[in-house]
Amino acid sequence: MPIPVIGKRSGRPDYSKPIGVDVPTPKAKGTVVKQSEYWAAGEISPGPAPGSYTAWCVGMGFSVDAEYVPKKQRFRLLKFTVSVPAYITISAGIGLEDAAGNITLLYWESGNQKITVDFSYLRSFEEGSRPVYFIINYGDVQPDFVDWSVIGVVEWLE
Amino acid sequence: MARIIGKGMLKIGEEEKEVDIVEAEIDLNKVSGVGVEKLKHGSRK
Repeated sequence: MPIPVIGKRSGRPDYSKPIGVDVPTPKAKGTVVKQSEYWAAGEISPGPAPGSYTAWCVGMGFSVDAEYVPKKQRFRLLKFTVSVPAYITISAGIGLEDAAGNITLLYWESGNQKITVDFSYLRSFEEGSRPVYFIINYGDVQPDFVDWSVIGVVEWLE
Repeated sequence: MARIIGKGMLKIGEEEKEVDIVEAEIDLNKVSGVGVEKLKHGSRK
């Protein structure tokens, strides 16, 4: 007995049509008047001991001379990578720290040896906050070092 | 005084500088959000 096929106009989805994708972006608290790339990379030595974690910031906290995202600026985190020279299981995480030292953990990703977190322009840090980066070592050896990088955008607001 | 645990480079706009990587001082009582237990179960370096 043939299986009846419901016509397109009878409620069957039209799979031939491309799927529209709307990416939600945070609503701006001000008008963006300037954007600059934010690129940081470095090495932590040694890496965390087995069963422990390391948390770190860049420079004074956010940059060479700023503890937090400066006033009238916003930091958008695009990409965060972590790798170690040992085949061990690690987790990489990102937290948002405010000026009072409260940290809200935003995201974790686990894998072996290397982790890339891609935020696709969705994660922003407003003035008076900063990102804190984490790595947890679930392996049984301590890596000699941790390589990491961060790519983002600093926006100046009006 | 924050402990320096590494070195790196930081570029914002046209400005590129060497930068210290500093250990973040974490008070676990002030940490919330996703996966807090991951940190509480592990000992700090």
